[in-house]
Amino acid sequence: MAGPRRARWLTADLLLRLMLPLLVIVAVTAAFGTYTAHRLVARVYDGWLLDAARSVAVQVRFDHGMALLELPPVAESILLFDDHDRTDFSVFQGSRRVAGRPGVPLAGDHESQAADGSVYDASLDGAPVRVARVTVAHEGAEAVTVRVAETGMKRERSARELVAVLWPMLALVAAAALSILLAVRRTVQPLHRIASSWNARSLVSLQAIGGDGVPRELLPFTAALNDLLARMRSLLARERQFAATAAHQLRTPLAGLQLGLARVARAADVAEAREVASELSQLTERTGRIVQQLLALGNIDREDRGDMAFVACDLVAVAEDIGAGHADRALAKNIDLELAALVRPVTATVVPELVAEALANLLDNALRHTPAAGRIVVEVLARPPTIRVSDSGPGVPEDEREAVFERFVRGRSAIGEGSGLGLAIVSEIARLHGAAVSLTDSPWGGASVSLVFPDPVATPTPAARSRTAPGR
Amino acid sequence: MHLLLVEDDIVISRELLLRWHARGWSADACATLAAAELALPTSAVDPRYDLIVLDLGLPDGDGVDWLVRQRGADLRMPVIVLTARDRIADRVRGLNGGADDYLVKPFDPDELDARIDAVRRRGQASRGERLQYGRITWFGEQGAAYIDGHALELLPREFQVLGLLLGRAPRLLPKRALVDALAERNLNLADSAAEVYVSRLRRKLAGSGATIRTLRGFGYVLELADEQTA
Repeated sequence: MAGPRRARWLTADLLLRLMLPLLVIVAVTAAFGTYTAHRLVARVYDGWLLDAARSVAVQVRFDHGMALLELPPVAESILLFDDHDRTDFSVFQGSRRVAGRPGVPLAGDHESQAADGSVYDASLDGAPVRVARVTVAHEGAEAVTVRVAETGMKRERSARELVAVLWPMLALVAAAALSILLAVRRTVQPLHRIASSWNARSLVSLQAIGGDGVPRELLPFTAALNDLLARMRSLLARERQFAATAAHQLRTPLAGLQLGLARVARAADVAEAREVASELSQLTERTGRIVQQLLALGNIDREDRGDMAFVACDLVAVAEDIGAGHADRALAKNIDLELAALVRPVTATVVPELVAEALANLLDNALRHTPAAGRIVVEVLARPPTIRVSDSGPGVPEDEREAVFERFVRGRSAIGEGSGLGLAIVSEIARLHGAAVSLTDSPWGGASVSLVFPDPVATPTPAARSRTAPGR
Repeated sequence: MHLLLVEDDIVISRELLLRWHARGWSADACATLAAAELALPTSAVDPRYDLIVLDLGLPDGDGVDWLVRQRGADLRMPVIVLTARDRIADRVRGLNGGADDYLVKPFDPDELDARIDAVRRRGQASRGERLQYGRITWFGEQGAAYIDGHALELLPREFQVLGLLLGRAPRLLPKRALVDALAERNLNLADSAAEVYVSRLRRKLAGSGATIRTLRGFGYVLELADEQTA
């Protein structure tokens, strides 16, 4: 089983999303800056080096095809003097040295071309140098090559100085990071404030939360929270009403018990006490029944809220099970309890527990109202799936038939000794199933209550249909 | 009759013990599952108790879970569950967990006693022990039944049906339970065949003081005629 995903920090997300682009921009800028600085330095210094070579080339004289270089010592010292770099030059005509030192390389790497020559990297006396080469042509004479070599100290220093311009950018990055961090913190902080203010309020009440001071982006949350609070308020109100009803319903029989007990205490003899005790026993039983019915109503409420598990279920099996559970009471009253199911199974899509509860209430009512040696028939019919309980009791007068389905929390109905809840439970369960519930006269003069479930789309298989019920 | 009561409510526990002692039954009571476990015999062949009455919401755990564990550990004593849980799903869970019967609080104490009797008798019937109901005596091991000491001429199937009825009396023997029990040896037993055995047995029991009552569609009840008039 995979564990739940770890909750993310909004702050961390924001920081990551803001800092990452900033760092990329800075890195690209720095790389580009460094590259540009190096190129600029190279171009400037290469130009100077070429100029130096050209100025030497200008001094070359030709005498009958022989190249000569007369460089005044001052000029040579100007050419060669440098604080940082060593400079060398050489002038060759073919392989004949005209002036300068030997060994300055003729070609090298990173060559850049000019109109009259080129500049390239090479090495002289084991040190890396940059060399400018200029060729001087003279009519009727072999061409002369002038080379000026210079080490790269100045270039490197200049490049470094140029790149140093980029350093303040680091400070900029740091400043930006800091301000982003602070901004993110400041933006997120109200969330904590809002949450704690909501918390503080919801501890004491379930009242809706106002939108004051809440950022627009958070308004949907406020709305969702208010929806939830509203649902909770109505739920609590229902529970409270339920608890109040339950308390009221239980107080009444408890008061009766108390009165009866007082009567027992005053009883003149054991016979009288026994008589009261037997009444009290019935009252206790009734109270227990009320508790069970209240719980059933509570369960319906809970199912009403959503967690209903509808399954295909055989109503005949439910009737067999619940009917058998009431057999003891029927036998005690010598009532003829019968199950009539000609088709088996009778499949309906229901919450079996609730259907059982409904049938139990119908049977309970029938057993309560049918006199001794009477008759109760549970019928299960197919197409549409129907459960019908008919009895030989006194029945329900026509003008009361609608009222008996009312739940006492909305009205009041108490016929006979029942709590007035039984048929209300049945009708609520019917409503949850989209089933129709009706009360008519039974063939034996009593009441007949039918629960007609919606006909399922799927028809039972022929095999299941042909198997007849053992009901007779 | 020797009972084990597992119940943590002192009032219920005391009332039941007093009641059972008055009836001549002996009982041990414990308030926790741990104590109940200590009270249980260590071997399945030593029954020690005839029956366990088990409450479900106990301080140290759920009674059904405990029962499932004990049944897994070869506990064969009949168990009646006594509980405040009244939802049908709870009842189904209890019975599937190995309970023989199920009674919801508040309950009629007479009803509890009747069920204790019935469950014990059912156990005796299935073990083939001697059963007495009204004027009927049933010897499972011998395969013989008597009315007032006079042997009843019963075919094996009729004898089996009588045993099943006696095991449940005076409560309902559900038709399904009857058909399932008879079908063990004959896979294709139809419901109507069960009805035939019952009606034959009914004729043979005439004058025995016991009658078989039909709750059509639900099953059969073995009733004592004088019990009805009492």
